[in-house]
Amino acid sequence: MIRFLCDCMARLGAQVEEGIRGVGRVVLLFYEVLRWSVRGSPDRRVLVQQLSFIGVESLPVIITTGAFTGMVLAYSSYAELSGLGVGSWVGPLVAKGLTQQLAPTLAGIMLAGRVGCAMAAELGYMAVSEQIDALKTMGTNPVRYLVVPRVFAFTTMTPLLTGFAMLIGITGGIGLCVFVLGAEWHYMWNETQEWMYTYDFFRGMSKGLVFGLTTALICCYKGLNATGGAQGVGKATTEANVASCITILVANLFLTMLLGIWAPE
Amino acid sequence: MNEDGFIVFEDVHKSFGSLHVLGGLSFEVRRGETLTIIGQSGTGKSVTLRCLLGLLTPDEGRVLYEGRCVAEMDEQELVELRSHFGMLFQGSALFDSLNVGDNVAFGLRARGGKDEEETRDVVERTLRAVGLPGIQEKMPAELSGGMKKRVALARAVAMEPDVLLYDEPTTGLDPIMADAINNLILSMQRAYQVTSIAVTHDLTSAYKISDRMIMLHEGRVVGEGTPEEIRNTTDPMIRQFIEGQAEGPIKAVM
Repeated sequence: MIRFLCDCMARLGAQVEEGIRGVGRVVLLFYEVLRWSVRGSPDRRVLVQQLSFIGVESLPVIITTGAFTGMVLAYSSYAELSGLGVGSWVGPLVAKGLTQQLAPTLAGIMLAGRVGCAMAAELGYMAVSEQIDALKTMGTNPVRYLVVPRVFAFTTMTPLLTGFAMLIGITGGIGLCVFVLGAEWHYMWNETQEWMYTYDFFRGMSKGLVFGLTTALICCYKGLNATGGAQGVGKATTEANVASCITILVANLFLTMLLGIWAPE
Repeated sequence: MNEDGFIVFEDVHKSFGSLHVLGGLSFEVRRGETLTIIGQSGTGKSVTLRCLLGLLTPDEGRVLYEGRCVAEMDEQELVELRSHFGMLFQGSALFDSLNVGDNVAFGLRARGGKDEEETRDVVERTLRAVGLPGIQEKMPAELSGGMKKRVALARAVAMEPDVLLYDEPTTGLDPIMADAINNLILSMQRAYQVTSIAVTHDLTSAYKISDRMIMLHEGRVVGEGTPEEIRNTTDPMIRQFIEGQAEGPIKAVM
């Protein structure tokens, strides 16, 4: 029994150690990305390809995520609040909930699943099929050619998509209350305008920026370090997704606290 | 041992965890020759090429290119070193997202110094040299294994390297295609006057393309000679390998 517990502790310790090492390596990759970004602009062809893949092609996922989250939030709170005679408060509740927490977190997780996994798998396949070695052999740094445009595209597109998810979610939530549940459009819109600030959008989008950056770095790191054929690529992809999503959830708490401190009066 | 100091491996050791791949590897490559490294799978043939390119760093010993130690080179020096090499990877390693023309032109564009028209001319010329003219627009996924190898060879020679490295150039090809690749390697050597290092366990290929052969076992050189000398050797280890016998001094690892 004691031996079993010792084994479990040792395994846990090894995993924690590996996790800390991984964080360190991702930070080093970030340093490399910054270093190459200063030296020159990213490869335009790869950048345009990534901007399109991350931005344009993610729109259906973002629209669905934003709209349904907003509608569910509105539907579940409308019954309670209208019972208290303050049904129009659903507007600011949905808007605040989406801009501050739900849109950045859910958009971040959806993008980690759709784009981050594809990124880790693509780079992972390139690593195990010697394409990364071929790049190096031809005098091209893989961080500069592959990672910089992906990190740049992910970091710029995620806040924009987060903002889009907020707008779609608020529209969906208020629209459901007005057109399905019979709420008064005028009151709901007035309440929403009264309680919402531009800062709320800024707060959500700045979270999106951080989530985009961390997801891109984690997924590129996992992909570049994939080994051992198809199984290795699968493992790298899974690890990239899990690590990205956990990072988003943990970072969300600290960002909420940090942005709360800086909130304007 | 070091005649002209072109490429020299000096007592190179390399391990991956508890797996010792190179255990004191020493040999030299003379300028202009074609050296083939033969040996069982897992004896460190591909690792040898990677140490030469600076893709792996030896745990002990030195790899020298024109007298300069590869492991001591900084990032810029490594880029300069690699510009002297062209490599044909085992699985071709063509970039999936680029068409054939862009694959062949990749190194030229990365290095710079040529305008787009010159680059296109070089691409066309090298693709014609490997017997695949006019396929610039095709994607790697549309090519057969043999065609991929030939495009990869075109990509390797497009930069007019001083040294061509071949990692299992005929693996996975049918015998006729394998011989076509061998002929191509010979014609490339004649056309571009390059030094070549090939690693393979395909003896037909090794006999055909080599000026000199060395045999690796457990990460060390256990035999050396011209193709004729290797073919007629009485060394029991080399005989076992070239005759493909499971019984003998080399233990077959299952």
